[in-house]
Parts: sequence; structure tokens; C-alpha cells
Amino acid sequence: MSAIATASPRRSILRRSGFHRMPSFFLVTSWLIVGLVIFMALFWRWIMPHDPNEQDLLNTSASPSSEHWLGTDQLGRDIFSRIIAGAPSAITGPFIVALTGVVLASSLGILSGYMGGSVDMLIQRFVDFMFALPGLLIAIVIVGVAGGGYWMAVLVLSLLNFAGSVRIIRGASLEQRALPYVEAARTLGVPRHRIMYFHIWRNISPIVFASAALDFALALVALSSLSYLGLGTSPGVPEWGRMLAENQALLFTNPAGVMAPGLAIVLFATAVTVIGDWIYDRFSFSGRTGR
Amino acid sequence: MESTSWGHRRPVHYRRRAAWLLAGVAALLVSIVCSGAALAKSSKAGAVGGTLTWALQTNPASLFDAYYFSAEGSTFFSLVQDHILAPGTFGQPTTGEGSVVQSWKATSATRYVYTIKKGIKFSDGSTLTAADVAFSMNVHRDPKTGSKMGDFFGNVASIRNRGNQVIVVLKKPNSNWQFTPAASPGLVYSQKDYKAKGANFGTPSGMPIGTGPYKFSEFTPNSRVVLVRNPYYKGKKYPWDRIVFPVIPDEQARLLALQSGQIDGTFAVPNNNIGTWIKIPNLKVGTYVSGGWRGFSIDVEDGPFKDVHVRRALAYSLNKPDINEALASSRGVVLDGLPPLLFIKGLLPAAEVNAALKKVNKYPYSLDDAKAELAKSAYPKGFTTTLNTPNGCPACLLLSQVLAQGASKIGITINLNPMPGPQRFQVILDHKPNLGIQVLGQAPDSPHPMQYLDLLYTSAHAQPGYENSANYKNATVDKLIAQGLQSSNLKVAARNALKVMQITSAQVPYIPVFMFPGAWAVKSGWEFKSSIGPFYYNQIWLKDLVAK
Amino acid sequence: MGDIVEHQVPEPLPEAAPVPDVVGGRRQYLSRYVRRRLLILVPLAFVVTVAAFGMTHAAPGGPIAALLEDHPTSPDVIAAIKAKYKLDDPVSVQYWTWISGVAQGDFGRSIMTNDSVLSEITRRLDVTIPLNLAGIAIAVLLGIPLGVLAALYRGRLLDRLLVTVSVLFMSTPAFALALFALYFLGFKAGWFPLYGPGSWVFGRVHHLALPALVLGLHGMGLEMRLTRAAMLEQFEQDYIAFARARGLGSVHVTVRYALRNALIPVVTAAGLLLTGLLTGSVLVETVFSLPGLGTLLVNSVIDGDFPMIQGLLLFIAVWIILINIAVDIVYAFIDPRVGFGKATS
Repeated sequence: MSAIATASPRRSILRRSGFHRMPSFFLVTSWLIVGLVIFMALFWRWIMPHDPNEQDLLNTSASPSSEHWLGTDQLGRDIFSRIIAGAPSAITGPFIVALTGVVLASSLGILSGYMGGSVDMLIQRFVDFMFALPGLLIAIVIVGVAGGGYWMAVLVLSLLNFAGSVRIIRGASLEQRALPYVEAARTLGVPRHRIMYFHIWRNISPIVFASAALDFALALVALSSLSYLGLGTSPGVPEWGRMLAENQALLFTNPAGVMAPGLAIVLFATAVTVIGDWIYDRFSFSGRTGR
Repeated sequence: MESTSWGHRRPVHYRRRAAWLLAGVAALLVSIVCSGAALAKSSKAGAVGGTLTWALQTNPASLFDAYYFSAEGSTFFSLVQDHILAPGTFGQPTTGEGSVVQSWKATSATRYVYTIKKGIKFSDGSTLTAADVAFSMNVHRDPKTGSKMGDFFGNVASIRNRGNQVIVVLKKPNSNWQFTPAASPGLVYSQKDYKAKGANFGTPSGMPIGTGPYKFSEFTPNSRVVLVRNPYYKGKKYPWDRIVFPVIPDEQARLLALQSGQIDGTFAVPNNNIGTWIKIPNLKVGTYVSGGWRGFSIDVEDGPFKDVHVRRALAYSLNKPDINEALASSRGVVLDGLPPLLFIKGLLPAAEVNAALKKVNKYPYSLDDAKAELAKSAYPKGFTTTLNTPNGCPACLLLSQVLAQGASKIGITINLNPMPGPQRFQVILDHKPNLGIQVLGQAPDSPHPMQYLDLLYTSAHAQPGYENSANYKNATVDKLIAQGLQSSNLKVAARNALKVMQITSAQVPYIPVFMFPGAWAVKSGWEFKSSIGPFYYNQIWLKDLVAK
Repeated sequence: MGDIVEHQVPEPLPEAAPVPDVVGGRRQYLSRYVRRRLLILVPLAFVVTVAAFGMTHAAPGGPIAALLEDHPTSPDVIAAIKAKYKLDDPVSVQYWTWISGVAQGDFGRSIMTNDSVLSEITRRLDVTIPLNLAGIAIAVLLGIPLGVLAALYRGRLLDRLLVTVSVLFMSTPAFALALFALYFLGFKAGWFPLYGPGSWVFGRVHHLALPALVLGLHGMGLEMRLTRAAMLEQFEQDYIAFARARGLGSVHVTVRYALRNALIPVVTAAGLLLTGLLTGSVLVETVFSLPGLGTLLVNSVIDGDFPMIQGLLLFIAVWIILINIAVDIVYAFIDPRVGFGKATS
């Protein structure tokens, strides 16, 4: 192994991103945004001012007012309520993608890093291949040709976007393998799978979560891009990317209403990334070998 | 919190030294923006003398209409190629400007004779012959062409030329034929030109020639089509030496380009968004009667939809006038049945039409009536169904959402399933897996009162390969439609159409919602004359454009 | 544009070994390596085409419906079109017809436009290649210096600002950025044309400036983040401290030593960007109405234009493989530790 191979750059990028040095209000804001989105996703039924699907055909494309804070869309639905109601789909899809990523990347990454040898080599070739695939582009083709909408998109992204995490986790496992506790476990006769998926996993889990957070943010952006192209959620389902596409026509009369869903995507994705970086900095103390 | 040793090592002057980097970055940014600003002034499009810039929404697939059959394509085809007959405002065939025919007549119910004008020249200087005209129709009939317009010629037995005449013989009488030479497949091509260009005919390396006021000078797919004057054209001269049709698929980009004067106008005003366009300053938006309709078909042989009460309940649950307001700023016409009365009113006295309409079942919006109807059905508590919505048709998506919302209030859950447009159309063509409710939108190809009815109500069309997506079968209706098509008197067709409307309105195989308006948008100060109508795209529409 | 923002650097090669000490030997390994990688192209392209063929033919819908959509039709018309494009043949026969054509340089004709697939694709390269190159140039030219700056000012206000900007650009979907740019820079400010690719060189530059800026800014976020992290990593290394202890100037140290070594992950990111921008340009081309490969792909997918989809997927696969090879080669020149495997045979 060359020096570069073992010192995983992504890890250091995360560590060096500097967010642990950010004034705490930045991190606090991120937590607030994420908390708010989760709150909206759980309680949207009770907190939104209007039924997000209630149409008012005689009051379409209205400008913001005290009744409709962000105006109404082309079918007279309240945009503000739809943004709140869009929170569940902003979380569900990306969460599934990130979760699949965690499972796949952990199993492959730890296996690869711990076993080494030809297993490592095989997995690394596979990961190289997956890594070169443009996931979103493939999702566009598959969802466009075969149909299946949102869930097909989630499936495709889940299966294609874990390669990066495998590398990180492999790098971390390599470092762990050299630590005394692994050696100790081995001498005590702890089975290999238990060492890999219990001991090592537990020690590198902050890294796993940090990369899952990043995957989450990327999946959010990718899924909203698909929705924007009309390849994601069903029409009528409040989803931020689709709302941005649908409301585009209101750009002149109601710019706030058009940009709000876009802003929601940007803020949520940014906040999740920041928190991912923070998790890494805060909890990743186990990987500091040799420095 | 982690601290690194680096912070201590860094000398202070180090940062100052590095400031040049920042300066470099700033300079780069500024130069990018400035170059953009400088160039923007030098290339102001649009108002350049003698050029008309008219935006398209869809990339022209081909310059040969056999492979690109669309109203938008016809807007520039019609400026390059004459039609055999020229359509009037409401599609009536004429021999005026835009037609290559001197005179025509039906010598029997199945035989039509067209006498070709003399001295018409193609843009390469060659003279138009009757053989060219016959060829222009036969090329669509030839299976080797694989023309999208083959269906127009399904009833044709032969098309021949003799001297300066073209003789068309039909298999059986059909009064809709008279409109075909004035419709999209009536474009006149040069046979010699077609043979010379071979497989490339219609591609950028094989742009067809024509006898119209302009000729193609450039075709860059997905970018633009450019026309220049046809030097051999003897008719009226239009003010523009050059017409550029840029392709701007994105609605916002098109709107911004029009507002900023980078384009002069467009017919690509999404008809679900006319209201928004009207509100925007610096441009003029107008509407015209399109003759096209939007609505739903309900498969009368599929599950709960077999029950007529279910179909009626759905019809009651739709607030058509409000839809017309939301989607079209009330510029459309709410429909109680097909065809739109536009195609009947000109043929029959108003009193007769009104009397007939009294016997048409109407379903004014009423949730109470809808619930009452559903209570009478076998599904008083409602049911769940799926509606396939074609992507790429925003109006269909909106309409489907309105239907789903109304239905949900009477207990019927309609899940919307987005599909690529072609995939959805394949479902209709295959009549499987199941049709259920389909959202439809159709534009007219001819003003014949039976046009939509034949397509949608004929029993023979309730099978794979045809478009009777309600699977509606009724022997009386079949007879009325057949009679209306066969009679050479269009009044018979109009009367029969009203009768079909009465019979089917009780059965509700289709829920027509409204006749959507067509719309144009031009620079402020420009205007379209009121004579623009449903078949404008097959006319030399420049004649109606008032520019300043 | 999710896939480009992976913060990951592919490892050089598993069999990476100490560099042979003779320069000539190194070259020999390099060419052997390139040849070997190029050979992989053939089976990979085969897999891609089979997958594309299977998928497009298994899917419902397809070109007939796309051709006839919303027009009156009849079984006769459908039969004529099917016969013209030989759509009634078994899929395996269709594949054989197609692949043997490809072997002779004939990629078939688009069902939608009846034009040759190859000429459609090459025509669009005029837009997509300049757009992508300009995008990557902006991403690299802005991202690397800003990343270095951020690293130098670590923990200070400028650093915080730059890091925030980079995260923001990375988290903004390309279509949203494109839409905002179109509205504010193109329309409100009136600096840039709003649609189309422009003609001739100046027109093209002018028309592509804004979309390229959008693509570039989107990629810049990643470049900056990577550069900053790599620089910080380098600053911690002993040799930098040593260089400084020897009294070498700080700019000299930054550029000559730290940046050079920091470039390794950055180059990889640039390679990833080139494949990733392909995705981004789908969205940006859509918003800016540019006739590039991205819009071609979206349209052919929607229309079920089999020959075009197959041709495009083949092209994209080759594109990605070539870029990966190029990145590996550049790698080798920047990092002397990377070798290309010993001549085993």
C-alpha cells in the first residue's frame, strides 16, 4: 500500500474543514435548521396553517399576504404549508439512501480494510468501478426509461452512491486493525466477524455517521434535481425540487414563493453537511494513529 | 476542540504575502463578468433590421413533416412550403395565398380533382408540377417512409397526376377528406429534391425546398431554424428578410428573452399559464380559439368505472369554470360535450343548436350531487384508483391534480402515477394493462364536426392501435358517426354530432373539461389580428402579425 | 449533481510500488498501463451497450408512442413505422444489427429525428465540451487559490467566509443555481444572453459564459474544500517545517512544496468533476436551453429513442473511462510515489 492509500484524504478533509472552529452560532443554526425540518416532518399535519393539498382555483398564483405567507401556487395551494409538508419527503428519501450507504459501505469497507489481501483487492476494484459511475445521470436514464418515480430514484441512488464511504471506512478500519485492542481480541479468540462488525465498527462509527451525513445532503440535492426534471415524486406531492419546477412560472409575480423551496433545499443540505463535519471533529478520536 | 501546531508556526507577514492570490482571484472574477457585459452590448438580438426572431418551445425533430408532425413545426413549414389548399381561419379549404391549387372539385363522393396553378416555382428555380403534388401526398402513404401522418390517408385508394391535375380516389365516401389537403399533410415538396437528398431529407444536411415565401437557410437541431426569402416567390412580400426560430424549451428563459427583447414573439405560451404571462409587463399576450380540448376518458369496461353512477359522480366533482379560470384565465370555453361547439355553430342555425343542447346532460359542479350519484353506485363508500399522468404536459398534471382533489372529497382516492409521455400513450394504444381514467388533450386537425367523435367514440376504435380510451361502444353512435362522415353535406355531420353529444352525455365515457385557448406573446406594441384562429399554423401567419 | 461532490480520492493503484529509478523504465510502465486500461474499454463498452439495450427494450412505451403521441393513428401506421425501424425483430437480432453497425462506425439513425446518431452527438460536442472545460477551468482557477487562501487564514474570518461559501455552493442544486443566475445576472443585470448556444467563437463564448460560471461555481465548492484540506495536511508535514527552518520564503514554500503535494487529491477531484459536470450540465443545459449532450440525453430518454440512448451511453462510458485514465497519468507525474505496476509478464 502506498502512503496515500492508507491516509484517507476524505477523513482529513472532514477533519480539516474548520467547522469545529466556526463560531458556535453557525453550528447552532445548523442544528436548529435540522431540528426544524425534523419537527416539520413529524408534526406537519398540525403546524401548517392550511391544508397543503387544498386547492383554491379562484385564488391561484397569489402574491404573499397575511393569509398566505408565501402566496399560492398555480392551483391556489398555500406555498408555505406545502414547504412544511415537503419536509417528510426531504428526509425520507435521502435517509434511505444514507442508511443503505451506511450498511453497504460498513460491510464492504470493514471487510476490505480488515481482511486485506485479495478480498481487499477485489472490493477495491469494484469500488473503483462504482466510483466512476455518475449516479444521478444513471438515475435519470433508468427512471426516465423504466419509470418508477421517486422510489426507483431512491433505489438507484442507494445502490450507486456508497463507493465514497467504502473508501473512508476502509481507511479507518486499516488504522484500527493495527491497534492493540484488535490484536488482543484476536488472541482471546473473538470471532473475526465479531471483531469486524462489533469492535471495529463501534470505534469508527463517528466516521461512518459523518460520511452518512454527507451522503444524506448529496442525496437530497440529487433527488430534488430529479424532481426538477419531472422524474421524482408524483405530481401533487409537496416536494421541494418539484415545487421549484412547478412554481418557476411565478418568478415575476412572486419571487419569494419561487425561491423559498430552493432555499429550503440549500439550507437543509448545508446544515446537514455542517453537522456531519462537526460529528467527525467532535467524536472521531479513535483514528489518530501515527500523528 | 482540536488545536494544531500550525497556528504557532505561521509568521504574520506570511498572510500579507499571500494577498496577491486574493487579488488574482478578484481580477479573474471581474474579467469574467466584464467580458460578459461588454459582449452583451455588442450582440443585442431581435430588433436587427429585417430579422424576425420567433421562439419555439420544442426542438424540431426534422424539417420533413412526415417525421415532425406538430403545430409548432407547421408554423415554419407553412412559411417555406405551400399547402395544396390553404386553410381559412376555421380550416375551410381555400385556393388563395399559400395554396398551389387553381381550382378543385369532387366529381363523385369518392373522387376529388385538383387543378394546379401555373408558373409556381420552388426556391431552387424549378417549376412545380402536378407530379410533385401527387408525390407530396403519396410519400406519406408509402410504408417505407414510415410517416406519422399515414392515418390521414387510410381511406385513400389512389392518388395520381394527369396533366396539371391531381386525382384522389377514396375507398369510401368521407367528407373529412376535403380538409386534408389544407391540413398538415398538405405541404408540397419537390419530388426531385426528395430523391436527391435521400435518407437525409429533412435533416440539417438535407433541408427540403418549397414554393412558399421563405426558404430554409439553416437548421441546427436543438438550437435554431433560420429562413430567408425565397427569391422565386411571386406572392405578397412580408416585411422580414430573415426569420430566426430559436429553440427555447425552458419557459422562464423564453419569457425572460421576450421581456428583454431578445426575441420578438412566440406561440409557445403554455396554455396552463396564460394568466401568469398576461400579468407580466413589457409584453403583449393574446389568446385565440384553439379548437382543442382537455379532459378525461373513463374506461367503461374497467372495474368500478363500469358503473355509470361512478362516472357521473366524477363529472359532478369537477369545477370546470374554476379550472378554466385557474389554467386559462377564463379564456377557454367550458365544455359539456364533444365536439366543441365551434365546429358546429357555423354549420347550423343557432336556434337549432340551442334546442339540441337542452337535451344534453350537464354536470354542473356540485359535491352533493356527486355524493348522491356515488351513493347510487355499487361503491357508495368510494374506492382507490390510479391515474397515469404524462410528464411533459404541465396542463395534464394540473388537471389531474384537480380531479384527484375533487374526487377525494367524495371518497374516491386517485393516486397520480407520473409516466414519460410516450409510455402513457402506449398504454392508450395497447388498451392495457388497464385504462381506468386517462387525462387527454387533443388539438384539431380539421374542422370536421365528426373528427373527435370518430377518434373517441367509434366501437371499431375501442381496440389496440386506436384511441377510444373509454372503450365506448354504442351501435347507434357508430351509425350516426358513419353517416356524418359519409354524407357530403356537413350539416348532416353537425346534426349527428349533436345527437351523439346527447346520447353520450348520459353515459359519460369522457369528461371534457374545457376548450383550452391558444395564446401568442409578442413584444409590447406588437399585435395579432383577430383573424388568427385554430389553424393559424397551417397559414402564412405573418399576414396577421402587426409589427411596429 | 450529487455524484461529483464525493470527497474521495481514488487510490492510485493497488499494486502501487516504489518507482523504478530509471525514467525510461517508468515511461515503459506507463504506456503498458495505458494500453492495458484501454483494452478494458472493449468489454466494458460491450456490457454498457447490452445493459442499455436490455433496459430500453424491456421498458414499456418506446419510440412508436413517442412518434405518434397525441395524433390520430391506426395499426397500419404503427406497422409501417415498426417495419421502417425493424422494431419487430427479436431484441437479440436488433442488438446484432446495431453492434455490427457500430463496429463499422455506423451508430444508426435516431428514431425521432431520422438523423445519424453520430452526427447528432458530434454536433452537440461543440456545446458540451467548451461548457465543461470552461466549467472545470473556473472551478480549478477559483477553487485552488481560494482553498490555499482559506488554509493560510485558517480559523480567521476569511477562512470561515470561504468555507461557508464552499459548503453553500456544494449544497445548492445546479438547477437552482442556474435559475437564480439566469434571473439575476441574465435578466435583471442584462449581462448575458438568456438562451441558446450562440454562433461563431465570440457568440459561443458569450452565450456559454453564464452556464459555465454556474457549473464552475458548483464545482468550485468541492475544489476549494479539497485544496484547503490538502494544504492544511501539508502544512503539518515535517518537510514544510524543515523547509521553513532552512529559511525558504513562505510563498516559495506554499507554492513549491505544499501546493505541489496538495495537488494530488485536487487533480483527482478535477477528474471526478469532469465526469460529474456531465451530470451537472444536464441540468444547466436544460435551464439555459443549450443544445448539448445533456439535453440530448434527457430528450432521448423521454422519447424512448433507442438508437440515440445507446449511442449516448456508449459515448459517456468511453468518456468516463478515458478521463479516469488521464487522471491516473497526471497523478503519476505529480506524485513520484505512484507507479504503474511492474512488468509482470
